[in-house]
Amino acid sequence: MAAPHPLSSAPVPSRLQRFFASEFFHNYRRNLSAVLGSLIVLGFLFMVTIGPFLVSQNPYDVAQLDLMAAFKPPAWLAGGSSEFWLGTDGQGRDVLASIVYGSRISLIIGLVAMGGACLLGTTLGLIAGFYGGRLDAIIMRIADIQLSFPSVLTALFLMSAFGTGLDKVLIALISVGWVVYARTVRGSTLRETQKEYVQAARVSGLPNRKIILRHVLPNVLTPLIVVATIQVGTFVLIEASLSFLGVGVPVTQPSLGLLIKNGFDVLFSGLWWVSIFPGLFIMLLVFGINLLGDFLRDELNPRLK
Amino acid sequence: MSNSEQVSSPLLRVQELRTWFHTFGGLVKAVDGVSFDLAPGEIMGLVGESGGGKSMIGFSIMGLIDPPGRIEGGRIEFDGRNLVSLSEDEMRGIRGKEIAMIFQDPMTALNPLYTIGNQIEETLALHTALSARERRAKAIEMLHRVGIPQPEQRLNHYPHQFSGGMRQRVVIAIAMIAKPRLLIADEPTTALDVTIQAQLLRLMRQQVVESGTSMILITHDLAAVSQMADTIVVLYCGRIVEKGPAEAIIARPRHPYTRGLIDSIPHETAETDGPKPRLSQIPGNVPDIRRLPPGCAFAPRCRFATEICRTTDPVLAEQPAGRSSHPHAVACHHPLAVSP
Amino acid sequence: MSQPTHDPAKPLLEVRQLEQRFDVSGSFFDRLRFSGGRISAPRRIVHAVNGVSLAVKRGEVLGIVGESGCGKSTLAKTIVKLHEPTGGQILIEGEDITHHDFTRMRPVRKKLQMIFQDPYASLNPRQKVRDIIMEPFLESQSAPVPDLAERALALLAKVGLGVEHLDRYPHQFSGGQRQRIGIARALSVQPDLIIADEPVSALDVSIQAQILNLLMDLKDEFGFSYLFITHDLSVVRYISDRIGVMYLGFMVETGPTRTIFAEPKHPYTQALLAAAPQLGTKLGPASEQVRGEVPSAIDLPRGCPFRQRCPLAFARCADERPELRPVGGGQAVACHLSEPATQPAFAAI
Repeated sequence: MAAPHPLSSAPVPSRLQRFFASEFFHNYRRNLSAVLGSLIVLGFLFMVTIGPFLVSQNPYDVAQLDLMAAFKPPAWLAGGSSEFWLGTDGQGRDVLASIVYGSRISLIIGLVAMGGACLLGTTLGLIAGFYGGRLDAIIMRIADIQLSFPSVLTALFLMSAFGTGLDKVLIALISVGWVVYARTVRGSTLRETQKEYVQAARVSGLPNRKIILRHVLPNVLTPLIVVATIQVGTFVLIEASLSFLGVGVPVTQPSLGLLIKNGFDVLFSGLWWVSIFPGLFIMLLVFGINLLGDFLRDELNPRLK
Repeated sequence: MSNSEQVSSPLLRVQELRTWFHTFGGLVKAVDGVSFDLAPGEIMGLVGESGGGKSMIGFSIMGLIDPPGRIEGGRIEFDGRNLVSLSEDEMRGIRGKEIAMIFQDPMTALNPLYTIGNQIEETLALHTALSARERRAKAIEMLHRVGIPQPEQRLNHYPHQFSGGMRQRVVIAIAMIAKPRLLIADEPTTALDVTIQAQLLRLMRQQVVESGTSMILITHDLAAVSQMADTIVVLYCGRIVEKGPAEAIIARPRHPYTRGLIDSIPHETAETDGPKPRLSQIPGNVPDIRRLPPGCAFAPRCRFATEICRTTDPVLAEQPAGRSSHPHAVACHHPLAVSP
Repeated sequence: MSQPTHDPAKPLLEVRQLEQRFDVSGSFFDRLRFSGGRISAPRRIVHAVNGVSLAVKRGEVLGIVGESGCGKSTLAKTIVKLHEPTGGQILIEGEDITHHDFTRMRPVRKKLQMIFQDPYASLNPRQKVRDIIMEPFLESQSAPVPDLAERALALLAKVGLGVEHLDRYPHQFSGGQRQRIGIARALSVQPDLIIADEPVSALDVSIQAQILNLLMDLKDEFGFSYLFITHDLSVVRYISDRIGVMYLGFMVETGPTRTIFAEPKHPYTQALLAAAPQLGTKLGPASEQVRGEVPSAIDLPRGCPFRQRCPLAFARCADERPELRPVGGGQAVACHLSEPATQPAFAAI
């Protein structure tokens, strides 16, 4: 057994090479909706990072706006201009440029809020699952109460209490979003702490903090990938609802949801493009995220294998 | 098998069975060219370590191989019919009625939502034309026969109200109630305590002997098999390495793997003063079945291996000079001498 | 309770009247029962270990054998303080660690290590082998260790693994190799006592022999002691110097291995030995020695814990719980039948 392994001299494949050779990647390539979903999401990421440099104007720079160009229809309709592919709104803003900047706000809110909810929920879930007892009871009862309200309603309530603003939206989203992580993590933590490797760590004299961070945490993360992916989509939608209702982001930083609201007033005057195009983009983004999430759920859930 | 004494044809004849699994990591030849005969009333032990393919033979006979697994070739002749070519509907008529199976975990065979009585009577309703009253009487009689006290009351209990040993008795009752001609028991006592194990092995042997049922006992436990079986088949990496009468296999193993298995069971020599002698062990690990070495799969762990073992597959061949009428066959280029 | 008699050297591990109970009744609402027109909330207590005493001398292997649910695993886990004992005492080299808190346990942990049953659950799947095996050692050091890689390599070599295994993850190993990694982890602090909880029962027969041999080699090299928990009689017979037989949380018989196997005195030990499958002997006719199955540890039977299954039980067994008493030759039995009326001394093995 101590004899040198015949493979030990072979070059060790890099992380990336191992990924491309993995069963995960193999299944991904054969799953059309997963590829489509990730292409959509990648497209959005590309759009919000590079997009601002490609579009003709910065819709927030008043100096660049031309009121004379207000309510121009999309380029392919009569009266449209090739300068504004998807038309303009009442202030002469390019709808496409607004969508690029709006998607950026929407995605940033979705991602940051997801990160915050994940951090908070995972921490509380670890504490509840690891220590149990009264702490567990308190945390999980709060979670139960939280879950018994529709999350849009809770967020709406919080927003009307705090006032509007980007930071307030994030706080509202995090406080409705942490529960799902806490519950998932608590369940996995209960299961993992029963395993012998955690007992071995205790026998080795590791303090609880190290056991949690080094042993429990890395082993409860996998199911969170699915939750987190889907949640970005959910958060984009909730934020859009809040902004549409007027309690979301400020008008100076319009997200996709606010764009819909801005166009909504003129929707029935035949100026449909101001509102419909941002709506289509939200749909596309959430659709892509959910396709990806469904694939990850199937791949990462051992029970479905 | 020309020198078989029995005039009667075998109940089960497995020929060149190959059950393969097409997994992402490669082709798993779980069963790769396995042949054996099982006479009516015979108890055969199927022995091997994990990855040996012993369970997959049982599942293949039952027609329970699911993708990515597939029976790639060979025949499973049961009472003259080739089970491999039967449809799922036809197999359903055989499963439970003519061939029954017992698993390691009795809970997999029992539905937690129904009483024991329901489940036994359901089996009867499926395979017999008895009336409800007769079915109930039969169920009580069967529970009594497998040693469950107060069967009239126990009929109305749910599986979780039974202990592990009692549950396995119920499973045996369900398996035997349709008087199957073949019983396949896959590690039936592995999850149970020794005192319960002995009770259940006795019970199973008594049941099959009384009803003339043939039995395949699949286990990793050589000692249990040697107590129960008439013949033993030893598997390694999906192939038969040795088969023959139980006494011969245990007392005079011819394959180095069988010999190694027997010798690595801790035995009495340990009770001396001073430093304890070491157990004889088989070096190394069971190879990855997806990347078997050429030639004999056991060669890398075998101390008798020579060049031919690493290049050429050994053929399962009958060995001369068997005292018993049953053939003793071994797949080895250098079978061990018969002397102890 | 009498003190241990004139033993010159202090035993490495001594356990006195250890008791471990678990409240499994859950919350108040889970406990609510409604019967006979009355509402009650009874507690359900599992009596896992009931007054077990034992001692392990330096360089000795004490095997604890018994069937599932006999409390042997709980005993092991209580001794390493994975559970807080509910009664009795645990002494390591004379030091009472029964109620040691985390900080006071730290120096003790260096003397006490554990090998686990399940080679698949006992290694953190996200850790590399080098981190797994060095963890107890690093935890016992206050300053950074310079030659960590060399130490890790030396450890691996001791258990028959090599440099190419250092940076692999557990899933890349077979069951036997994983158990070797688990053994290396226990060795890293050079403990005096290793508590092995069914270390070979999850392994294939041919691998079992490898691991047992390895455990014996390591014991000869380092001179430590084992408390070896197993349900497998052939294993315990091979590895142990002395044996304790447990039933329903009680120690029912103890003694030198040879004596226990040659002259088992307790009816349960006799039944256990008779039931163990013997290679090459045909299954005999049913000797209706032991009936039924192990009773529940929640409602312990009155009197002798074994009496309901015992073919020899008589009136006294139902009234009075037999104590573990020496019967000579280092053997001790908790049975009214083997009780010489003249030996009232308390026995610790």
